[in-house]
Amino acid sequence: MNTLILRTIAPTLTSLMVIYSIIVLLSGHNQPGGGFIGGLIAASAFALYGIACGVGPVRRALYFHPIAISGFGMLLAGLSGVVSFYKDVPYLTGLWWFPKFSGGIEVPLSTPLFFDIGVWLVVVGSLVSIALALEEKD
Amino acid sequence: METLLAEGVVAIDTTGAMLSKATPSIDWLIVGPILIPLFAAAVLIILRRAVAWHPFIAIAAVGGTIATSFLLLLRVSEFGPQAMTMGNWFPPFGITFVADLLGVILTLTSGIAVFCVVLYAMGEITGRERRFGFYALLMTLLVGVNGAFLTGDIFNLYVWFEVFLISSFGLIVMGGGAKQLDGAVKYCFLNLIATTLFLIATGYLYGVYGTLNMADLSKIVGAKPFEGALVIISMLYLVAFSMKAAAFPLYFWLPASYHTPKIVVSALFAGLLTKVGIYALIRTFTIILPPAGDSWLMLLMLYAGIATMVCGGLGAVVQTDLRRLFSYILVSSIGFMLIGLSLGTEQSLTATMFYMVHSILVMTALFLLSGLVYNYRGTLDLRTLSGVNKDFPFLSLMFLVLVFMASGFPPFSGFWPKLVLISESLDKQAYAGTCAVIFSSFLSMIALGRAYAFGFWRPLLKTSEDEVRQTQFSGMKSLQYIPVLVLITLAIVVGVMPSYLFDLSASGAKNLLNSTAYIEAVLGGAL
Repeated sequence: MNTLILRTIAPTLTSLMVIYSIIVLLSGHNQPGGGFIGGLIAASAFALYGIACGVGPVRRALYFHPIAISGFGMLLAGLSGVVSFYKDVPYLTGLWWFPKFSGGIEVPLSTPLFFDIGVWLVVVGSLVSIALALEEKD
Repeated sequence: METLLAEGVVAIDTTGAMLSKATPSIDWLIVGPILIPLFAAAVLIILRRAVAWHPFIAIAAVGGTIATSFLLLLRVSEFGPQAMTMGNWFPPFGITFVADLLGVILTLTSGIAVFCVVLYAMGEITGRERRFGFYALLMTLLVGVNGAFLTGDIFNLYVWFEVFLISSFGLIVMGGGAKQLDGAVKYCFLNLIATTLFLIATGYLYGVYGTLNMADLSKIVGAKPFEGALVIISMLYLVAFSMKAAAFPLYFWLPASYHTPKIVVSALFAGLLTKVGIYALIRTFTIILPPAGDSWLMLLMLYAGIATMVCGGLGAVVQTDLRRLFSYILVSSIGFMLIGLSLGTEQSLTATMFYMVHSILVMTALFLLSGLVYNYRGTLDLRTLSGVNKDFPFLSLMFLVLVFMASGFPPFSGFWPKLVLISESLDKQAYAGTCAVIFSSFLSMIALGRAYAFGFWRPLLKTSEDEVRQTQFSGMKSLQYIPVLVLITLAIVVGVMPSYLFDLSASGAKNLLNSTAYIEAVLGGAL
């Protein structure tokens, strides 16, 4: 689909969609959203970029191979549960930290967050590799 | 707790929902056999281009899995079933992992089988196949199988089935020829149907009893009579798992698909996958749905088992392809396990567990050995295969020992469970079962003896000489003897000193028939 309009708008649209997918990912713990849905949004962003500008630019933009990204996501999600080993609680128990920064900013960090980021990476990696393989054929 | 809550978040009382007891570090052994290969799979996916490292990562991971399984076995045999509920949630709601003797013995044995397969694969799998993800798929297969053996939640069991099924789809199409795809289509189709039935049964089970935790189900269903919805659920589970286990009349997919993939892959499938189906049957009809264990359903299973044994034996006798022949021997051994489960006594379950260990070791060894034969002769067709005994006497000797094992000669490992099951079926007056075990052992002996006589003992045929010269492998293949030898040695040790495994299997069977210890391990901390 080699139209000027799509090629012009695609990079902007892609970056907006990736930012939005990260917002969805981060709001996932208490509100609708999460790693899976966020990952789907980001994957469709990269698929759109691939349709507009070709598969090569997407692969260059991702830098890592999509499959390797999903492998890293799997590792991250798995490791997020291992933190509980040091707290004497079972695997995958949700643990929270509230580190305080200057100016009274408190950032809630948790193991479910890292699990979700792992899921996000798995979904992005596997779906992008499927989408790129399909787009490459034609 | 209050210090941890951010402003504006209402404090929720979690004392009734979360476990308050601290988890000792040793309990992590329960999830070890799942986590270690899972992390290895992730690392292998990340390092997919560093193909030289793949086998070593896989060997380290499987070694770690075997070590944790062994420690877990020591712990479980001393202290009884061990449980860990994920996320610290109250057991019927959290996903529980339970290590009891049945699960741990199988985890350990399948770890050993996978280890031998990984060793064998070092000389077999090319760089291209490694990049395709052979070792990563192998690891996720191990994750799925171990997860199925250790989970205490029936929906989670479904998830683990999916995990190893998807990995096995990946492995079975490797090679990508028309023959592989033909086998893969049959395999995938039948397995997808079975998994769907499993899911439907699980949905129905949840709708009726409102829980999926095996220990909880055991408590709730245990007191119910075998009627109404329970009959339908049990029937669905029986069909779904029998399909997976390749029982009569749903076994045709197995011999139709196991001879097409790469030798290592079919060895792995033969060793592990059907056993997961049998494991699920044992778990379902002893712990989860105990009323079904004393019903006409078991009579149905007995006849299915008898038919499986006889059909497997008869099928083996007429095959000319060595791997198809082994597939039928495998089917016949599935029948043996079904008969053992259907009799439902402590002795017969002991024999079944013993036989599962024997079958994992011997079947993996048989298929790997067929790979060695293929490397030397370039064919597995008994019509042209010949003269192995003269050129490779040691290989021939190993095959002969495996023939004795698979057909149940004393003092090898196949003999003892058969002896126990025969005496038990006589006690239970299931004479048809007794006859089937004896008759099918006889058929296995004929089939394998025939394979030995034609393929190994017979002098090299004139017609196949040219073929042999073309397919002589120049590479160093003698290292591939080691995994087969390891499996045979283990099976001999089990056969010569059967009392260790027998004692373990017997107390495992006791725990299956009396689920109090299992329920206590899972729900004890919560009640």
